[in-house]
Order: sequence, then structure tokens, then C-alpha cells
Amino acid sequence: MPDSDSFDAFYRGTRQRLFDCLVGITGNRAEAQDVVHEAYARAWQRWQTVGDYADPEAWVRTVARRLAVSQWRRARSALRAHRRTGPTPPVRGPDVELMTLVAALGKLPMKQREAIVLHHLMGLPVTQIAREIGAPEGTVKARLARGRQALAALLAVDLPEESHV
Amino acid sequence: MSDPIDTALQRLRDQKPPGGFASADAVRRRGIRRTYRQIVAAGVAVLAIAGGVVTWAETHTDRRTPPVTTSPTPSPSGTPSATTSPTPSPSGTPSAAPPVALTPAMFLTAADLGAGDLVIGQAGEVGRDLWMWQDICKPYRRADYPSLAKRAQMDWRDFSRTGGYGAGFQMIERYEPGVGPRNFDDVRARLRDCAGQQTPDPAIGNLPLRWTLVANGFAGDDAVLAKKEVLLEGGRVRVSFAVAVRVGDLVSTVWLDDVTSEAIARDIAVKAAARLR
Repeated sequence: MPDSDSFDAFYRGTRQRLFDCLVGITGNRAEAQDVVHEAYARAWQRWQTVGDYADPEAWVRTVARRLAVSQWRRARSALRAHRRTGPTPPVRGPDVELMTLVAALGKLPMKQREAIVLHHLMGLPVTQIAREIGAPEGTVKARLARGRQALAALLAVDLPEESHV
Repeated sequence: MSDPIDTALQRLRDQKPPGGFASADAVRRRGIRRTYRQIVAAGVAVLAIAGGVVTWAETHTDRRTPPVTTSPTPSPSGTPSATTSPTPSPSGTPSAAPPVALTPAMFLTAADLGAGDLVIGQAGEVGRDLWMWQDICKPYRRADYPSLAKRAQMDWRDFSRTGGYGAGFQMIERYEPGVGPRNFDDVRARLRDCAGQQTPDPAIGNLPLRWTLVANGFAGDDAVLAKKEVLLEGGRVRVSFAVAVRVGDLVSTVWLDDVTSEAIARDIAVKAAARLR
């Protein structure tokens, strides 16, 4: 019988990290919020099994990331359609630096963005990222390197000469 | 010196969701609603795979016009019970199946299931062609199981724990007169087709699982007991059982996701058969 106490503790203990990750990937807090709740709902459906995993957080993160990418693709299509009808007026937020960062991340290709968020925000090593996204480690390193360069240019920061990964 | 990308991304940490995080209880309820929707989707998928021409409008029409019966217990022999309004088929031609409603009394109760914290849920909208055995392995082609085209009626319930987790399902089907035994042939054929296969199940995170036909004929006019083994990481196996019983042309199928005892599964099958008589 699934243990709701263990699920509830897992949810409360990991949801903020997952939300942070999804804000980085989607650039949208409302979207990230919905994906977080959906991913944990799916985890609860299978909690008898997922709860036994050595790292259930990795499972729910993978589910959430796939949901986010899927939603992002739909949103991108909608945005393209919207742009055909005219530009959207800019919206000013309370944190310009944060908005600049989110905008910069949004300009990266999704796969580079995923790698950057998982490595630099979630603190995952390359080996684990490779396992979670199902790509060779070399591919992850390449995405990280390209993403870092692009992000540094967009944020106007200098990268150290040594490769980070 | 810290990495500038690390530093920049720290700004993303500890933001708050615009509506706050949902409570754990709300998340669990959302999971249960997903389970219901998946059942609906499974029924729709079968229609697509089979190349059926049944449209949503037709399905909806069926659900809007259930047969109304004056008899609380349909005859398992296939003899039509008295009805007040035979349901016409969507095409307007008379239905070949006796329009006898399944009754709530045919479903297991929480007491039958022997667990104090079980809640019997209400039936929701499902694709009318949903079959409990369709997704135990792939590929599934409805045409390979000919009795399914002769199903006259279907209803279902879910069992959930008071904690909110879906613990199982029961489906009761009524087949056209004389087709019940053929449906059991199809159930066994499906289990035989899937035997030995370790099929990823998207409903449980793509872990491989294996179904095995364990026993036959121990309840009602006929019965099957099937074992489901989910192959977990580290070589562990999680076992649960499903049973199907037949009385005449009525078939009751019960999936028991958290019953790990074969003896309990058999006992539930006997109770399910008794409720069909």
C-alpha cells in the first residue's frame, strides 16, 4: 500500500528545487508551477514503485522536464502564430536582472538550456545529466560548453579560461 | 573565483510559484484524476488502433441513453429482462444485444475486498471499448479478440485507499447471448500472447512487467487468476493479481494493485462471481 506520508514528505522536501529547475527551463513561473504539480501527481500515481527508487527526485525531475519541453514547444508554436498578428508589448518586471537572465536562457536552444539548468542550477554532475536526458556524456559536455558561451555573451560576463566541465 | 554562470543562475533559486505550492493532498487528488483520464484515453486509443469508425458523438450518445431496466438483477443466461425502453443503436437499427442494465449490486463492496480503508469510486466516462486486458502487453489489436465486438454493455468502478491512491479497478461486462465463454477464450488468448513478455508499462514509469496466467476455473462458471510482476530496479519484483470470473455471459474483472496474496485474490474472485448470480 502506498505511503502518503512518505510521498508528502518527498513532495514538500523537493518541490522548491524542482520549481527552480523548471523556472530555468521554461522562464515562466506559472508554467513551472503547473508542471511541478503535474509531475508530482504522476509520481503519486506510481508511488508504490517510484517511492522505492534510490533517487525518486530524479524520476520526477525527468517527468517534469519532459512536460516542460513539451509545453514549451506548444508555447513556441503559439508564439509564432501570435507574432504573425503583431508584436507583443514589453512587460516590465520588478527584477530586471532576473528578467534579463530568464530572457537570456530563453534564447538558448532547449537542449543547451536543459544542460545549463541541470548543471549550474541543480548542481548535477555531467554523468547524472547524461543518464537523465539519455545522451552521451560528451554530448552533455558539448551542450554545456556551447550554452555557457552563448549565455556569457548574452549576459555580458566573462568566462574563466579553463573549461568549467 | 566563482563561476559567473553559477552566480548568475543562483538568482533563479527560491522563487515562489504565483499561486503558491498546492498541498500534498491536492497533488494526490490530481494524480487520481489523471488515472481516470488515462482510462478514458485508453478506450479512445483502442478505437483508433482498431480503425473503428465509432465516433465520440456515438459514444456520447450511448452514454446519454442507457438502457433502463425494471429488473434489479439481469439474468446471466442471456434471456432479456423486462425493459422499459430498449435502446436503439446509433444507426437507428435495433440493437442485437439484449439491453439489460448492469446493476450496482454486481460490484464488489469494500467489505468484499476485506480492507477497511478502501473506498469504492463512482464510474466515470470511459471509452466504451475499453478492455481490461488490452494494455498488458503490446501490440494489441482488437480484431484479434473477436468476442469484444459482441460486448453489449460495460460498467466499471475504481477502488481507492482513503489516502487517495487508486488501488484497483473492477469492470463488469455483459456479452451477447452465448458469447461469454468466447470472451474468456479471448482473455486466455491475450494472457497467452503476452506470456513471457517483459513489456514496459507507461503507467508505472516504463518499468518492465510480466503477466502470467496462474489458475483457471476456480469460481463462477469460469475464472482466471493472473499474476502481474513489476520488475523493479535491483532485481526486485513487485507482485499483484488480477482475476476475472464469468457467470453466463456476464464477466467481472478485478485488478487488485495492492493484493499480493494469491489466496486473497481467489477469495475476491469467488465473491465477484457470487455477485453476478
